Amino acid sequence: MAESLQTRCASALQCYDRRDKLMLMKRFLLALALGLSACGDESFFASISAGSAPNQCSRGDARSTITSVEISESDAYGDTQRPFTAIESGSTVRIVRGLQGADMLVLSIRVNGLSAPACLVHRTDITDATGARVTTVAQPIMFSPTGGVATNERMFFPGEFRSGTFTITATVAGVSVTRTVQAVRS
Amino acid sequence: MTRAIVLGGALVMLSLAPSPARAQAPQAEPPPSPTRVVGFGTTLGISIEGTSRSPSTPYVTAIGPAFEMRVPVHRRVELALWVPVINLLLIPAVSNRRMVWGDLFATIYPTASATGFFVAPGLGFAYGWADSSGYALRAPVRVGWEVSTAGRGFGFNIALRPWVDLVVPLANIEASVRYGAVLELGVIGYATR
Repeated sequence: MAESLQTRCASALQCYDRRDKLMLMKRFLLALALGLSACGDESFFASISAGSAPNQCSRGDARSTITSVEISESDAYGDTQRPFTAIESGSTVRIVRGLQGADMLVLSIRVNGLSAPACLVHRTDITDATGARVTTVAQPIMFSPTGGVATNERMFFPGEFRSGTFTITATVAGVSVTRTVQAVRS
Repeated sequence: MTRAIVLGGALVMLSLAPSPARAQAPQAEPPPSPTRVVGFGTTLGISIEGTSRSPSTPYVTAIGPAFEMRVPVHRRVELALWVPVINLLLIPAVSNRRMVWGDLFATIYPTASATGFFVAPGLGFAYGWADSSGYALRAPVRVGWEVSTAGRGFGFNIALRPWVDLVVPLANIEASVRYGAVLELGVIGYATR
């Protein structure tokens, strides 16, 4: 395998460049496809979007055995494996410019103490330094635990983000976590 | 014989001369132009729009070819149904989104019969769904200029369409206002009688 790579890439740096180009190409094609959808009334969907959370479900359970909720930054494009690192107050998070031109935070939510897969009521509010709401995602999420821990990755929170202080409050099945963070453009 | 010929000639001259009554009769009106029965056509437009949820982000949208159907209800008023079919077909082709959208206009020609300046107040409805869903109650107004062919079989128009929407998401987030303007070119073919 190493020999094969060596054959295709004269150096490790060249291999890295090739992977980078492929990634850029992938993003370009995705942007092109999404750009075409700009003939699809983008502002309407921006207006009805409550952000997006993978693993949505219906009839969320409002009561559960979970003991705590944590928030982490997540990767916007899914092309790297970002480890879950719980955000603490004072942490810095990145403002990501999405492929459709909207600014957003990309977060993961982890719940602890869950013994079995469950569809749980979830709501995340993000407010700015004045207390004005920037964005909200309020959708039940299916959490599937492993060893009592379940993580829902890559939740998109589009909004009018500018570098500064924001407060994130995530509530899952009645258990909340609130963090005040500094958001900066990536 | 000679006297008879002269008398006959005088009668002919008299019959050809315009009578006083005929000379004073008003000019006959030209035949009325054909009446439009129904029209079908298309528009092409470019829209710039924004939303109160992200006021600093302008969106530019190409619209068309859109379908338009017109039903005249008066020589100076036509009802128009406008549906951006190509856009509605493209949306699910390039994304996981779906949308239905149509506007209804009352096109009023205040100065002439279905030609020249027109203003068209309208109402519209849009419903879309993807990860989230919602609907919009639309209030567009078309203002433009139309040129018709001599037989009224075709109308060509250029219009500016400012609009405002009340967008109601079906998620647990507040309603918002969307606004914009479309510059559009249209051609409508009519069945006439």
